[in-house]
Amino acid sequence: MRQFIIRRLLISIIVLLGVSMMLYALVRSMPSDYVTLATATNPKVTPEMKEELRKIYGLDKSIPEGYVNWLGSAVKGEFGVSLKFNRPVTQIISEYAPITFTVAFIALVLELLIAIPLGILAARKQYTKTDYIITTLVFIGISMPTFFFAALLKKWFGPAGLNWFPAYGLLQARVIYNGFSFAKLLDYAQHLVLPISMWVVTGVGSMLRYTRTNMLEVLNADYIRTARAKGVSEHNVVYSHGFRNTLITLVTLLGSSLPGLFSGAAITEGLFALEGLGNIALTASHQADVPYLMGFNMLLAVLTIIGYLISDILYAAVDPRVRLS
Amino acid sequence: MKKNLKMLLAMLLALVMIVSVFAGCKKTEKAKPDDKVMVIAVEANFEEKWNPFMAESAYDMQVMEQIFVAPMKGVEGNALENWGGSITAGEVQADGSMTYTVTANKGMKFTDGEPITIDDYIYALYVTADPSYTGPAQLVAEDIKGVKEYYYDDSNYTANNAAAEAEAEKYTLANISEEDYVAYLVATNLEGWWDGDPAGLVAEDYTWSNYIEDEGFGDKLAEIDATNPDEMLALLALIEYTNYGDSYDPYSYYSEKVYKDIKDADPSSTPVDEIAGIVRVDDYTCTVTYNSVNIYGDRSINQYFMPEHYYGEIVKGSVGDILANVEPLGSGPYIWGGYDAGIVTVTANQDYFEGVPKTGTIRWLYVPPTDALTALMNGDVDIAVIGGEPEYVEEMDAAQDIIRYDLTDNAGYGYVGLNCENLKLGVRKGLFSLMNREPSVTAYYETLATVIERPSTTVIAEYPQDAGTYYEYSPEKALEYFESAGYKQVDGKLVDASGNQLVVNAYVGGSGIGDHPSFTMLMQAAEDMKNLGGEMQVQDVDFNVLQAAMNDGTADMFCLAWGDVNTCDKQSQFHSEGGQNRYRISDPTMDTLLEQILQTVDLEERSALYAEMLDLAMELAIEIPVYQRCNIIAYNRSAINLDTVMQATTFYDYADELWTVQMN
Repeated sequence: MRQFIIRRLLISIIVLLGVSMMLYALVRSMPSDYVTLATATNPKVTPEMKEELRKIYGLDKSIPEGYVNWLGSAVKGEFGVSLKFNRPVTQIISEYAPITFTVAFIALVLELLIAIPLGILAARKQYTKTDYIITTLVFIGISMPTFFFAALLKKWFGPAGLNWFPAYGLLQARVIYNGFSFAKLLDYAQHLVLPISMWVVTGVGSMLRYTRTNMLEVLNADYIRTARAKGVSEHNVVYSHGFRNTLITLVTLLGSSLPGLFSGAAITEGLFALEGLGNIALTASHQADVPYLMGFNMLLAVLTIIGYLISDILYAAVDPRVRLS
Repeated sequence: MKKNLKMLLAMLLALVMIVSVFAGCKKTEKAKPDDKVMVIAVEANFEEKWNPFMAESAYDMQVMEQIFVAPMKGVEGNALENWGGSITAGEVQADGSMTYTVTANKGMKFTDGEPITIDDYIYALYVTADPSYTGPAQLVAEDIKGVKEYYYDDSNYTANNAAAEAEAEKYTLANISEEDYVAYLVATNLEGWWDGDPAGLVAEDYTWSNYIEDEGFGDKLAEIDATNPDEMLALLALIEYTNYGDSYDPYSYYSEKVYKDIKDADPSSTPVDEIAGIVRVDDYTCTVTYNSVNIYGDRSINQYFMPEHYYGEIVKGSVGDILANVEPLGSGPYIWGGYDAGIVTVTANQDYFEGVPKTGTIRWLYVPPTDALTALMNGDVDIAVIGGEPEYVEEMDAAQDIIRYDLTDNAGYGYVGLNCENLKLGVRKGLFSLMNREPSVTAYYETLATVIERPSTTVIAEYPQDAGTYYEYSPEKALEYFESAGYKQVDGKLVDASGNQLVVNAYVGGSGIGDHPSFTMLMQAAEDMKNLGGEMQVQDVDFNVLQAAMNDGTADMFCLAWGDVNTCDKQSQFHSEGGQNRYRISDPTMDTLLEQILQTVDLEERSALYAEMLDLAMELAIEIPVYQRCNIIAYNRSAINLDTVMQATTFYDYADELWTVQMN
C-alpha cells in the first residue's frame, strides 16, 4: 500500500507539471491580456504605459520564459498577486474556500441522502410507476437550465413570492452581528437554502442514475439469485448483498467529487450573489488574470489527483478483491 | 415694603440674567449620528480594492468616496467646488506653462487623530507618479513639469525621448528594413508566439514544420536543420516578415530599445528623485505646474489627502506595499468598518470637518439586478441603482407610494467604431448610411435612451444640442458612397476593380443572443449589404474576443460604449497619437482641433470648436454615434427621509452628500 501511494505521488508530480504547462500556455493564449482588458475604457492610457504595466505584471515575457518564472515561484508556494483583485492568490482562495466548500459539501451530503435511497427504490421497482416518476424527475433536474430554475426558486420562495428565504447574499445587511452567534449562523443558513436546493436538484440526477444502474446490474447477478434462493429476506438481499457492491462504484464517484467541493459553481454563485471561488474564477477568466487562474486551477488539479488517489485507496478498502501494490 | 419688593424683584431679575449668561456659556451638546443602518445596493460584485490608489470599479470607488477627502469635489452641473482645500489655476505663462495652487484646510484630521497637511496630498501625487504604480490614476499621463523625468528616472528625458523618436522613425512599418524586422521578430520570439520547441505544435496535430510548408517555405525548410531552434526561429521570422509584415509592431519594440540605448549612452542623464513641477510652499499649500495649458488639470490633480504615516513611506520604484493596504484610513464622513460576507460597513466619523453625519452606519452589498427592485420594495435595501429595463420603470410607476426614483443621463454613450485603415472613407460613409439607429435603440431601451447625432455624450456643456442627422439611413445613398470608393455592382455583387467583393465584419458583445442595443441595427445593415451585393459578417462574441479583434486590427467595426465621461477631451480617441485611437484615424486637421479644444478656456469658444471637431469626426466617419442612455436611482420612501435627498442629476446625486442623508 505504502509503495503504491509513493509511486502514485511521484507520478502525480509529473502529471501536475504537464497540467501546469498546458494551463499556463492556455491562459496566456487568451485573445486579450489583462493590461489590454483593464485599460480598455481608460482613454488616458498610452501604449507606453501599457508596456510598462506589462513589464510590472510579467506579461512582456514569452510563454516559456513566463512559465519558468511562474514555476520557480510556485514550487516555493508563492502563487503571486491576482492582477484583478490586487491581493495574493492564496489569500483570496483561503478567504473564499470555506463558503464554497460549505455549500458544495452540504449539497453533496443531501444529494447522497436523496440519490441512494431513491436510486435503490427505482432499481427495485424497475419499470413501475415509481421508477418512471423518479426517472422523470431526475431528467427534469438534469435538463433544467440553472438560471431558469434559480429564477423559479426565487419567484416561488424568495421575497417576490412566499418570502420564506432570502434570494441573494449571505447575511442580512440590516443586522450587524458582533462576532459569531447562533443568530448569525441561522442567518447564513436561511441565505443558503435556495442556492443549496438548486445545487441539489440540478446535481442529484447523475448520482441517482448511477446508483440505479449499478443496483440493477448487481440485483441481476447470480449471487443475488442464489441469496434469494437460500431464502434470505429481501431487505438483506438488497442492502447487505446488493447495495454493498453498488457502494464500490459510488466510492469512486465520491473520490472524484473532491475538486468539485472547491471549484464552486460560477452560475449558481452569480445568480444568488454568493462571492465564492467559482464566481471569482469566472471574473478572473474574463479579465485574463494569469496568477489567479493558475493558482486556482492548480488547486483543482491537485485536488483531482488526491481525489482519485483516495478513490483507489477506498476501492481497495471496500472491495477485498482489489490489492494495491 | 413696596420699595423692598421692587429691589427684591430687581435682584431676582439680575440673578436670572446672570444665570442665563452662564447657561449660555455652557458647552453645547455635540450632535450625534443616529444609530440606524442604511443599506445601499450596488449592481455588481465589489472588486475589493479597498485602496483609493487602486480602486477602479464604480462600486469600490463609491465606498472610498465616503472615507477620503480631496481638495475639491464635484457638484451640480459638472462643476468643482472647494472641499478639503482648493485648487486654483494661475495665469498662462509666456512659455505656455500654467501653475495650479493647491491648498489644504487647516484643522482637518485623519480619523486616527493625525492632522492633515499638504504633505499628505503631495504624497498621493508621488505614489501615482511612481514607475511601479499599477492603478488607474497614472500621473505620468499628465503633462506636469518633471513627471516624465521622474517616471523614467532620466533627467534628460525630453531630449533623449525626442532623439529616440527621431531615430525610431526608421523602424516604422513604412521604413523598416528586412534585416531589422527579422531581428525584431527573432528577439521577441515572434512576439511570444514561438515556444522554442521545433517539434512543438502550433495547433492540434499541426507542427511548426507543417506551418512553414503551408506558408510556401517548404524548400527553405529542407535547407535547414529542422531540429535546431535557432534556425527554425530565423526561418519563421522570415516567413512572418514576408507574409504577415503588416501584422506586427516593430516600432514599439525599437522605440523603447532606442530610447534605452540613448539614455544609457547619455553621461549627463542622472536619476531623478523629485518631480520638478510639484513644489511645497508651506504646511498647507503647494503648487503643481503643467508644461502646457490643460483646462482639466484641476480635475486630474484633485487627489485625496492620503496619510503617509499610515500607508508608509515611498520607496521609488517599489510602492507595492502601499498599494496592497486594503484597510483604508482617511478623513471623510465615514470610517472603514470592514468587508464581510459580501457587505461593506462604514460608521460615522463624528469629527468630520463639515459636520456630524446623520446616519450612524452605512452598508453596501451587491444585489443582482433582477432582485434589486424587489429588495427595495420589501425594505431589504433603502437605496438602489435599478437596471435600465423599461419594465422596471413601469413597476416603479405603479408603486410610487413606496418608491421614488430619479432618472439621470449616463455620463457616456454607445457607439460603433470603424477601423479607418481597413475601410476606405467612402466605405465608412456607406456603412454610416446603412445604420437605422432609432428602431434598434428604441426596441432595446424604449424610453430609457435616445439616439445621438454626434459621437459624444450629450451631458457635457460643450455638446452641440442642436446637431442634426449627418447620415440619413438610406441604402441608396450607401450605394453611392460605396461606388465613390471604387466599388460597383457586377452580376449582383458589389466588387472593386480587382473583382473582390465588399466584405465587412462587425463585432458586437451581445452574449451570443444579440443582447445589445446595436444588434438589430447591424442585422438590418447586414441584410441591406446583402441586397447591395456586399457582405457584412456580424460577430456576436465575448468582450475579450471583441477587444482582441479591435486591437489587432481584424475588426472592421466594433460596438462599444465610453463611460465616465465628464470632459470634452477626445484627444486620446481621435488624435493620431491618441492612446485609445482604436479607429486608426490620422488626420492633421483633427489633431489640431483636438489640441485647440483643450487649450481654450472660454466655454463658448470651446463649444464651437468641439462642434466643429465632432462634425469633422462625422465627415471622416470614425465613430457611428448610437445612444445616450439613462440611469435610475431609486429610494424606499418609508426608509429614507426624502427631504434630505436632492434630485439626482448626471454628475451630482445623493452619494455626493451622503453624510446629510437621513433615515426616517
